[in-house]
Amino acid sequence: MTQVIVITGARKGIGRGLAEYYLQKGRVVIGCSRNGSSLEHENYSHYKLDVADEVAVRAMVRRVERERGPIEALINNAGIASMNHILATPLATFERIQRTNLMGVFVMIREVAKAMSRRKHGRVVNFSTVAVPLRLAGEAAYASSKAAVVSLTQIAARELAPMGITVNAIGPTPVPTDLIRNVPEEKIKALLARQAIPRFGQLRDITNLLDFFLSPDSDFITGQVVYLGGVNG
Amino acid sequence: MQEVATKIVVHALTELNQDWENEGLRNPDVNTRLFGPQGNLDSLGLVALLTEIEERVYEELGVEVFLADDRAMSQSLSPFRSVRALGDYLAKLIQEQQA
Repeated sequence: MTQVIVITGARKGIGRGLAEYYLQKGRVVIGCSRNGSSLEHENYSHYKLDVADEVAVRAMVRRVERERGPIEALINNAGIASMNHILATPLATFERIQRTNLMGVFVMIREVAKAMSRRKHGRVVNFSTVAVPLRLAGEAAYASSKAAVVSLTQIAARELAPMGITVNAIGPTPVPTDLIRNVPEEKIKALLARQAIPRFGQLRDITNLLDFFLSPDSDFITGQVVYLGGVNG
Repeated sequence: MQEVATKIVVHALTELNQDWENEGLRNPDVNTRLFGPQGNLDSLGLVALLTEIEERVYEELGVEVFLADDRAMSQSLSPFRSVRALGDYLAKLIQEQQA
């Protein structure tokens, strides 16, 4: 049976790259984002939704399981950021970031894990960021939402373990995508200099770790957060 | 609707108990205690039951319900305490969705 993998934030950037990567590996990929996707493939379905909309997420999970098969893995990649000093950050911006980055992860885990729990098997991988352990100034809203995702990952790992579901997180370094498009170059350089391996992350760095977390042999790996570039959590 | 809802709860319990083999849930009826004092379910069991019921409600009635919502969690008497209480609560949720 072809394994179904759900990837949030699949329209562009890392999410789009992951969708294409797993399609090449023969998986059925379900992507979702607030807008439509240009990706066309017989093994790809895209859903336009807000990941924090529990009604829409549940409807998507139902439809996917009915039309494509059981969801084997969930990759919570969707995330937004807005670099700004705390004193100049509107509450609406802070709320918007928490909603997508944290609430969206919570809702997706809850609804997908319900389906996975019936089969006593599943893999969930969330996205954190090196901005968390590096306490990156200017990213209070973003980093705090991802720090919460780390805590959610670790607790979900314990709660979902009896259901055969592992939950782990990856903390990428900056990867050249729209997410960091508006970050000044000198700030990016300063951030890279704090990594043990001072370079941009690439898609292959992320898929390398994702493949490990998703592997059937990784059923004893859960509640872990791995940061790339030699950054320590 | 209450009868329909209670039947869904009982069937879900019966199905799940095939794995659990809990004597207290062998022939559940409206008086069967679920979660809380003298309950037959631990927290994992409750989660499994709620998930199963939500799925059955959709399959049988085409209605989406979220059992673990704010109202359920804030009531002084938990709607998850017994089959009767859960059936009553489920009936209310279904009727709200169908309205």
